[in-house]
Amino acid sequence: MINAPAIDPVLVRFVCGTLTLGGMGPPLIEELATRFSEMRVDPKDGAWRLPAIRYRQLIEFFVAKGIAFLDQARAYNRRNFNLADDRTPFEHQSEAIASWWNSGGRGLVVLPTGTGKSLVANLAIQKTGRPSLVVCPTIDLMHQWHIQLSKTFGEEVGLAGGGFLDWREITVSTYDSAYLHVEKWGNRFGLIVFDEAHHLPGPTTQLAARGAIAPFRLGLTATPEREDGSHVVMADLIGPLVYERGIHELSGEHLADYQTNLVWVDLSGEERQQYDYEACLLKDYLATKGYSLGSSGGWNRFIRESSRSPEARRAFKSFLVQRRILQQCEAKMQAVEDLLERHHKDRVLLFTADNATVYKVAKRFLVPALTHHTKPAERKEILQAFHDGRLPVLATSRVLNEGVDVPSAGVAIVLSGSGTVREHVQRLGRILRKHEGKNAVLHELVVRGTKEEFVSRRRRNHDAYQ
Amino acid sequence: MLTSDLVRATVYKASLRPSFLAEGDSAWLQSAEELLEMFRRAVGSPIAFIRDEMVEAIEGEDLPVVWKGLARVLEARCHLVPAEKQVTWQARLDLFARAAILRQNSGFDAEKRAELVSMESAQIGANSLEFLEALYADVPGHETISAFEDISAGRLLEEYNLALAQGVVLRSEWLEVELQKGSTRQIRNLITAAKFHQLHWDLTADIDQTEKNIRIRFDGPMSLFDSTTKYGIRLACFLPTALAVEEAKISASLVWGKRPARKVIWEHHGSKVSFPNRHRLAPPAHPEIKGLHKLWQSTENDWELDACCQVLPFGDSQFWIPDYLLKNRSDGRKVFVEILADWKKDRLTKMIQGLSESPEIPWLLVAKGSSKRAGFDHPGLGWYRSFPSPEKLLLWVESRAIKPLHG
Repeated sequence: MINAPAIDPVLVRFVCGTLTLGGMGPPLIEELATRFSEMRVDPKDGAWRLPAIRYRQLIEFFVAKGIAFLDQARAYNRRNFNLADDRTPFEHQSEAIASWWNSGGRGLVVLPTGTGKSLVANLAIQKTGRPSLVVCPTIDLMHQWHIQLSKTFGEEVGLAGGGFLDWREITVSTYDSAYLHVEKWGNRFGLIVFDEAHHLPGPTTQLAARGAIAPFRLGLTATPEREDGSHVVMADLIGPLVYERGIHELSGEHLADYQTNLVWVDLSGEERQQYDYEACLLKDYLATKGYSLGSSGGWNRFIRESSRSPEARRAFKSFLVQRRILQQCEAKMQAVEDLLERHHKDRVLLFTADNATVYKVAKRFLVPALTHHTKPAERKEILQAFHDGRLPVLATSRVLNEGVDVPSAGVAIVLSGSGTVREHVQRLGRILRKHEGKNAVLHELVVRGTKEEFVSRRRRNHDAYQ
Repeated sequence: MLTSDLVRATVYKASLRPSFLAEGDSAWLQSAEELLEMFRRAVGSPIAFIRDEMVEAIEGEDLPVVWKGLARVLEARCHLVPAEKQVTWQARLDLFARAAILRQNSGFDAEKRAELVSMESAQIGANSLEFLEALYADVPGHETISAFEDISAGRLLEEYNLALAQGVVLRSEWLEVELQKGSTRQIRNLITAAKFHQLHWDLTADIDQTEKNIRIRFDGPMSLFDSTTKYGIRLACFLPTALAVEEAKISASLVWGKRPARKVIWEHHGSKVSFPNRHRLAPPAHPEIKGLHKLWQSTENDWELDACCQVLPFGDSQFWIPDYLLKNRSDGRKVFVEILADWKKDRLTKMIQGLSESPEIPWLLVAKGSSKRAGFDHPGLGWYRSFPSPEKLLLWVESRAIKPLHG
């Protein structure tokens, strides 16, 4: 306990993504060190430092204890933001924002794609009344947010990313630019909105959250869980889960009605022969070694062995050949052709597992390919032409899995993909945005009598597919 | 350097050991030789050829990580030129738009497709097959390998180990180099390289044992004090200089795994792992430090300039490693000099304060900039704009040099 408040106020400054604390006596240092385990003394200048993310707790601590402090860290002021958007929030949006505010203006809101997460962000900016930074994963999304926020608040919105570095009282940034420049902006915003917040726990991207003082934080995502389990750190970086609604709860009224359709195809005789041969080679190898790929550590062991031994490498090749057959088999291509014919009046997204198949599909069906290699000008033109119907079919692997707004898309054809539920839910989300009485449909192509049956079952393990 | 997805390491409790490839391991040498053969064969082909060769899927997530890492090292040795025939993105979108109109009118079939492709092919002087090859030839992976800087399999393993170590330090809070039998020249090399890369460090030394035990701790990019990518790359670029010191014990505290604050120690000392031999290479240094010696020799004066390798204790448990010792041939006066091409005000003032409290050390600091811009000055501080001139340096030295009490 501190018996008497410090005579001189504690000086709190923001330096390079951290807070420096000056003018503290030993008792206060001791108490702060107990309370904040990350507090350390910088050997270069002797200053006590804390990660900037602890700003709010630090100030609340000073206020609660009646300790005088001089806040030179915060470089922003309160102000009013006027919403030019006259849309009345839906019930789930109002509930989400109320729940977030009641949790101290910190926390994660989980809503399906197309249910108006951006309006929730707008309401949070208005409610908070502090300069705000919106962080999103891609350049496309950054521009999408920029247009939306400029229109909604009727003022110049800054951009940081894709060659822009223009910090304003409302700014949009990519995760990459946010952490690269956190030293510059870390004390300029009172609210940070993390769009597609499941990206934040990455080892470097989370530095953006740790290096900023923003006391108010809002995370938005449709799929909070990460395969690597690191989503648990979001509670520290953003706040707790404060609101969640599923696709089933919102479909019909807020999302387009949809159906999912399994399209079974068969390998040709030659493909089946090769598939079975390679499957046999792989099986024999694993049987000799006495483990399976699905067993604990089995996959890692297989990869390790294939780096060093020619036999394992041959078995690994078998695995890849099987995968290529499943991804690019003729029956799937034929099914795509039939589906494109059936949906010749619709906007169709073709999803594959890898870029090689995207380009193969693009060349075969003469449809544009959208990958992370697509340059910005071409990408912009493709999305615009898709929207206005000049290019009604798009082939892509992962870049459209999340975020980018393609409201007119009504049909998704999944040629191949990972076995993750998240990817499959995100792909479904691309076609669910309400748009002129749209009835969305997702076709998933599965090769009968192969391991794709298992992969398909696994990725459909979500209530949206039940 | 390897990106985080290619870094392999074994983690056990609080320790982490990067999975270096042991020198002379026949299995690794064979893998390296196989990959090298692919790259040698690939000269004149698109870079994607390698990816096809590498079990047909280097872009797949499942290719052995070591192979991806080795390939990354070799890709850096490839000279790439763009594909000869390319279709512009505007032209291909035009083609797709025409195909879309046909499809919307239910008029798109194999025959129409062939017709469309054939018409477009003629425009770039290619047949249909070549045209389809050229359709996405501007996408990365379609560049042609014009030359490949060949190396031996053993050297590839060494380059891989270095790239792996660099990938690891990108996640470090600090990196420590300990020299137990280090020569003063080695210390000098480390400090010169650290200054060049603008690293922040703290040095501890056991001076009683004639400088045998030196420990230098460098801030890492995940440190609370320097959490920037640029800094991480600078530290990674410095690493070869540290690894070139055979007797050095290198350890680091890393942020690794799911929990952000997890501390892991990596130690590299006395193992059989080898790195590219850079002993003969001079460490990277600021041109001011490199060039001053030469310039000084072309100037007539009574002062001898030697690259100084002393570790001088000063102030309150601080150490100073100056760049040069200037000694007067006639009267034996001497002064230690450090050239500061990059400096921070806090550190510089602390250093001046410490040195000022150590009258036994004749010192002179020569810093880039001006007292006006820096906002402070000191008699022991000389300023230069682009390069310290010997004439000016001579004046400062004359005013700062003292005759040592004991020889």
